[in-house]
Amino acid sequence: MTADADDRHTIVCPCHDATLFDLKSMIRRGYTNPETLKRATAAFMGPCQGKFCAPLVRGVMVDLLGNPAVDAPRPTVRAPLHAVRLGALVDAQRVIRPGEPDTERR
Amino acid sequence: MALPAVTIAAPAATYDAVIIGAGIQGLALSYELSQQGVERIAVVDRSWPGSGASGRNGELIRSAFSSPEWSLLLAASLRRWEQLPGELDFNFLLHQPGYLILATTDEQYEQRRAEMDVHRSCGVQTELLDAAQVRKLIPALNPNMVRGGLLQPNGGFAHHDAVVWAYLRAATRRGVEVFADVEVLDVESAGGRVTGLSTSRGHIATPVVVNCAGGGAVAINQMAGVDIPIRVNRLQMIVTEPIKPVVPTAVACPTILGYCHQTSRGEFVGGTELPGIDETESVHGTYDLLQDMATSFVSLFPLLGGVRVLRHWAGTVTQTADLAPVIDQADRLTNFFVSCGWVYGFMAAPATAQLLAAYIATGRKDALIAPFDIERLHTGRLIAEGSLVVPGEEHR
Repeated sequence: MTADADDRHTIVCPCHDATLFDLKSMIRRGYTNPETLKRATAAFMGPCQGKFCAPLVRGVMVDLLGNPAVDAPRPTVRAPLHAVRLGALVDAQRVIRPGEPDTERR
Repeated sequence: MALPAVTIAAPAATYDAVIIGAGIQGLALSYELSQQGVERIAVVDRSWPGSGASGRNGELIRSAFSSPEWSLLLAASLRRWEQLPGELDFNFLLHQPGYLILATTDEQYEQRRAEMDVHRSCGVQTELLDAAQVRKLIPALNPNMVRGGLLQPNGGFAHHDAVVWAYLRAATRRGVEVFADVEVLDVESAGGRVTGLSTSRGHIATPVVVNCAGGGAVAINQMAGVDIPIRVNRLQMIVTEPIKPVVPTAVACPTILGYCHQTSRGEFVGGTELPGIDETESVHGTYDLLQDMATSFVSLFPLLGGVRVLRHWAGTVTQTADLAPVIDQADRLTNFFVSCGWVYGFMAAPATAQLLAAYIATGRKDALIAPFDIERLHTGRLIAEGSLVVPGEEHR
């Protein structure tokens, strides 16, 4: 197999099936900051929010751009740190359940 | 540089026009200005293109508003949206599955019904749906939250990052130079006219400056000494794990001050607001909004109670007393133009850029942008728009 074909079969982001080929082509095209590479490939944007892929993506960036060119280790980490069911976050006093008559909330 | 087509060299010493802010407003304007024949255009951004609200918004598109001012401008914008994928040669995932403004009360339902006269006169196609029709369209809605709704069948959404890339590529192909990491330090003028900018990468002489700085627009107006009553507001959103398709259209719900849609990947994406302005430049999320979004969206779509939220973020906009934008030239500083005060800026950018570019290039202001002037904010003749899901003036 060619190097490209190998890269196409190497998954870096299992959440969104982003491959090494996807990452390399987007970096070569000019998405050279972790924040922009994220938006171009969907790495960091799946259920793991980068916990799995961040070190791998950084490795690819360092390989292609060199250490000094990678100006940020990974995109901003946002809450929640772990995925949380929305039902666990609701304000029980205000939430409207099916079967309740009141739709006037404010 | 962080994005394809961003200019790596330092800005030149002079340009025919400089646009501050490489979000969708600034980039679209640069593209349309070049179409107007303006030759040497620079766009400067303190970060990378699309890093502000252009990459943080709800990416929704509609033209059904309660006022003719909003409906006419946004109708022109929707027509422009439909031309752009071909014209810019970029598939930014424009989807038009419909945009539903949900009515949860009789009062809202009658209000939506009354707005249809405006839609008809502005050429905006809408349908009033009763409760049964809304529930059939979106079975996942909580029946207790459904009194009816107004559906705009050709409303929808587009992938906001890709729209930025599309304009960025199209503009730079036409010779526009787009600079990242350039901070504007001062707006210079002489004899009541703009003469240039002092920036973190040197001085730029230019006869035309346009403030498209989004959440940063207040500071730019201050540098120019221009008095425009706009204030910063932080808005927040969440995205969930991907789920099966349950939200077929874009949805706005005035009762929860919320808006949402489901992406083609299956993520539920939406935001709500609490009453009052959250006047900060921080782009971090806060727990009160996370709880409000969970409460509001689980109320609207009970099945979301079992769906995990992956990420919660924020972005900043500037807004005016009537929540309408400011698209104008400063009255005491010739050739200092503004396109700011945007809360619905993503959906309105395509037409606004085209019309503002024509105004800058020819001096003739189109009737569609004329209502959005600076003067109305000083005289108090505000635009009455009643279908926005944005909070009003008072502080939180």
